[in-house]
Amino acid sequence: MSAVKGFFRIYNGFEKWTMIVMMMVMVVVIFAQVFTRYVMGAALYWSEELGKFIFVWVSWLGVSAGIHTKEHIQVKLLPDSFGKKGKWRREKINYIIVDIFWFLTSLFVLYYGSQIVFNQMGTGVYGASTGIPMWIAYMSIPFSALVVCIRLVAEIALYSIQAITGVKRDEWEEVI
Amino acid sequence: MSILVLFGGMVLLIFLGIPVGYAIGLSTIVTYAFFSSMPISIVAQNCFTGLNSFVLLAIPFFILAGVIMAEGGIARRLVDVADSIIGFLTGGLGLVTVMTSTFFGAITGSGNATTSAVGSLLIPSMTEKKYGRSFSATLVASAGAIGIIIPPSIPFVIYGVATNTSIGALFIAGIIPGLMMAVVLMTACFIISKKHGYGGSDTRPNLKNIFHCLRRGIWALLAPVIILGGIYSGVFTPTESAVVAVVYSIIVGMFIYRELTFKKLLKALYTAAIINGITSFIIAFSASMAKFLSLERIPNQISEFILSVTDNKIVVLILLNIVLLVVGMLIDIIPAIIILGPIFLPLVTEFGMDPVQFGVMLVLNLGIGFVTPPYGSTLFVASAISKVPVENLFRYAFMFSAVLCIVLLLVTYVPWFSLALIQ
Repeated sequence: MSAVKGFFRIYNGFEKWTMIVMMMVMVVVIFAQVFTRYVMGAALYWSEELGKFIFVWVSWLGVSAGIHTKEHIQVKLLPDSFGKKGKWRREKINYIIVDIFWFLTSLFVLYYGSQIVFNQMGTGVYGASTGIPMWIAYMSIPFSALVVCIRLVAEIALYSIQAITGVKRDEWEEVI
Repeated sequence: MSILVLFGGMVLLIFLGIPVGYAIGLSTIVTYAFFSSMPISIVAQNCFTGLNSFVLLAIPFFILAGVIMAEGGIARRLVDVADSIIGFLTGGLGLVTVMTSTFFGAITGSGNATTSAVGSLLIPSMTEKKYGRSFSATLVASAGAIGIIIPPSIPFVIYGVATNTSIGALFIAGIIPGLMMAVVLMTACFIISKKHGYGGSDTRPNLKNIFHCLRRGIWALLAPVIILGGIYSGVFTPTESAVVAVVYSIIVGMFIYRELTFKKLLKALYTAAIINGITSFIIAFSASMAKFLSLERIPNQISEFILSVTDNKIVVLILLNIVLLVVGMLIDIIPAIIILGPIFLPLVTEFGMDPVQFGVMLVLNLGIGFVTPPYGSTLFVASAISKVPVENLFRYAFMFSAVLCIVLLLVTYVPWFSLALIQ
């Protein structure tokens, strides 16, 4: 099991630093566009497209990171509406149901997203001004969906164990 | 039937606790699968195309600018300026909260960013001064809603993209209504403070102190001037003004106030990336839903239906206000704008309403939902900061949303408030 934990830790670090670097590049590139246009009088021709591709990537990576940091916006009316007794376990069961629906949606996006990427690899479409292959930009969709699916499966497993045994496992909650 | 599955399914999933974006995604997928001849893969396609827009880059930038301003000491100096001017009045700290939120809203485009920056600075001081904790938390949450009306504003960017309306014009249109919100909230805060005996600070305002605070805060106060001036004069597009705001806040935080270390900057980048991550993908899924609705010609059907019931402008607008208030209570503002903006815009243009005025009305109308349970996003943030459970905030939330409704009515029925500053 420590291998699984190690995998999550390494991936989380990778995801975090990728997002930080992408945000930085986005700021630098778009600011360079403003600077070249107003100060030097000639705009970069590739900056908008590069900025857009990075934005799509960083947004979908952020969906996965939002699971890790538990920041997704969820209405928590259901577990709260039954009173205090046994609330902890009920909460876990509610989350398992939520995660199953969430997982199914993500699985759908993963399947159809991969199809789009494979199609584009076959036909060889490129970004108009950067020349970046479109499949690299589209890859953000199935990649993020895959990681979201993995995180959710792990979460479902964790919550099931917690709901059955009643034991808290904080170290697992932290890595997923 | 398809509408019932689409909207009913969405609301059901949201109440079950599915993140709002995925609730929209799943109900849209099911609706495409059973009620449409379009290929179902269009939802996955929209995950990319719905976000592949240069205008939307303004979203992470405006979030980032807000996070950096809070980390770099800019928010605190705004508080000092407001405090030196109006802090001595009855309910002084409450008034300072509203004024700071208004300034801060003129730098960032997000209600939550405003609430969390202002709240983490002022809720502790209000508690210290024996202000009621549920009062202070709710006030911060309500003042946070000013942040999305005062330009720049992420909801205006989204409305502009969803309905092809000029974002620059929307930003300018938000200035007067945003200031009106500040005025009514300050008035309400003053009256409540008087009743409960919440005092002001002990020092009377003196010119020397005000000048001192203004001089220390000048770089913070200049930020809105640069951002709004840039947009107003047509020098910057909204996305460009957002990136200028980011770079400006980094320069001020690092080299002038010297509070923003490189480590804090990295943390701010990560925080902003996460907030953007839990926000932006909702646009992608909502775009799929909006596409389904327009393919099925739902907007026309709804507007024909309403017009067949009544064609009295005032009645229709009141109905819209009520519907949007309820929607704002139930779901997040971003999907609500993308889905409902294109539905109701054709209806109000029948009555000669300007799309810009409608945008301000829509965002304000849904923004009041920020403060109202069960889905009140700035209310959640304020509750987390103040550690007061959300259900204890309902009483004041009701009062503050009621006073904000005064502004809403004025904006809905008097075009001047939104259109006066537009050339």
